[in-house]
Amino acid sequence: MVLEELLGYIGGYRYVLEAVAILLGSLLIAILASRYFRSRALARLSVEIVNPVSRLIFISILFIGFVLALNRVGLDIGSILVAGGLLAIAVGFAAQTTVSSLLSGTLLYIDRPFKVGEAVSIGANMGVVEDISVFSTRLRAFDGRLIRIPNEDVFKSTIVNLSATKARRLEYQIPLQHDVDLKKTVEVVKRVLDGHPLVLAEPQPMIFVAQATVEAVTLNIWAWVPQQRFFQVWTELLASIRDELAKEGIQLALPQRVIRVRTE
Amino acid sequence: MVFGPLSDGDYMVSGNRLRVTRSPEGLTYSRFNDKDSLILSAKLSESLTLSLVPLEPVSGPASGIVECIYLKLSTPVVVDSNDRIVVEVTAPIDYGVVAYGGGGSYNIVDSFPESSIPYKLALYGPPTQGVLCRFYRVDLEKPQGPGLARVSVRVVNEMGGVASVSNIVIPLGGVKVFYKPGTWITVLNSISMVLESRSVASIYSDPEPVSADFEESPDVVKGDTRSIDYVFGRREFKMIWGY
Repeated sequence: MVLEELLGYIGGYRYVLEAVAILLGSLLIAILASRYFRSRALARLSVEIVNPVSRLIFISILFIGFVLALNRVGLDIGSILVAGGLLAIAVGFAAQTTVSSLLSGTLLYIDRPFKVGEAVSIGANMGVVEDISVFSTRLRAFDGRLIRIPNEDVFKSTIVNLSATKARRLEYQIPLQHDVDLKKTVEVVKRVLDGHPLVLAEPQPMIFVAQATVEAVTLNIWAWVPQQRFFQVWTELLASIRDELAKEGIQLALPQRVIRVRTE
Repeated sequence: MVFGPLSDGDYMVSGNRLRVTRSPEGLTYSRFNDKDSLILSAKLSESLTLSLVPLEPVSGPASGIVECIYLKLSTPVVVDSNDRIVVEVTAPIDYGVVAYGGGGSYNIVDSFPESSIPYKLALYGPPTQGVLCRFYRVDLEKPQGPGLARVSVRVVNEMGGVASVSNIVIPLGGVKVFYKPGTWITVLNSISMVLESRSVASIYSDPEPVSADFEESPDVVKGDTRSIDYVFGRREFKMIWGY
């Protein structure tokens, strides 16, 4: 009885069926439209852009269908939209961070500082990008942890894309004792760099004295290596340089402090 | 050491010992290093034929990331305006053990670089856009030896003024390797290098077979690699960062 009264109030069964048909129709159109967009856009755009736009198309069509369905059963769309607007403002204030992340996510799609699969450093986090969604970016850290960073933080942070280059320069600072033969030391290091197959011949490595302080003479070593083998070469070279210097009797500087004893 | 079919026995190739043994169960291929440690072993079905062939230089420590061959000439090649010159250079190759089956199908069982040739890489271009290449210093006076292939490069100067060429970059996607069975003689397809301006040269590879008594090695790098494709387009490789 209550249901019949309610249906009578909103215009009877016929309008309800029409509203349901509109909802189902809009759902079908939303699915088809978003799929059509995906199939056409994937050839030209990256999946990070296609997925959210496809979702936006789906939700927009469904929303229009929902409003039309409500209108069909006799509810006033104007007042719904006004109420919806007020609700949106209230929700906006309550969910500032979420909205900020959403906007940051949109700006990231436009700026595209990284792509899925690339190794990046975002602020203090480092890893391989697993997913870029509308609200957050997920990184798989090199130790296996999954890190979710809100897009707002991503946008504000310093981003270093480690995969954007073919080669990367590794740098060592070797502190040496003051009495070492610098010419011989440079020759030894050069021999190690030349002998490593993954140290690039071009751009050429550089070996130079960068600093001479009370404690040590600092030798800087710069060598370009393939980005994909960076960590491997970094560890191998450091061990080789240390071993070769030791073999040649070249001493690394030890921490030291000069104490002067004043006698009366 | 010669290129061609490998029957039962041991073969010394670039400090490695290759061993092929045939039994009723099939073929066994093994490679040992100069300290006689086993590096690789494979079981193969009896109907397959193993061959030692030269391959494009993509194996070794930089396997999977090399996109081209970067030849640095010991002496520059100077070409007058609207003139051309053919220079014979050498480029590194790898050794490959290939299992050939019926219908021309094959599988590369093993590949390794020549140990007597310095293995170095170089970046041609800037770090963000350049290409990683197998690097080799070419001595124009030095004759071809094992682990090296002869390449004929036709340098055409189409710009106004005398030009000097010190670097030649050959994309691996355009490289074909040919060998003379029963010898270690190897050649790559000939290259045309057209100098367009002071810093830009186009590289074209000639896909024609070198000679009737040479056989073509299997292709390791199929087509152009993605980055080279992206920067340079499909059919021609442009050296846009100088030569």
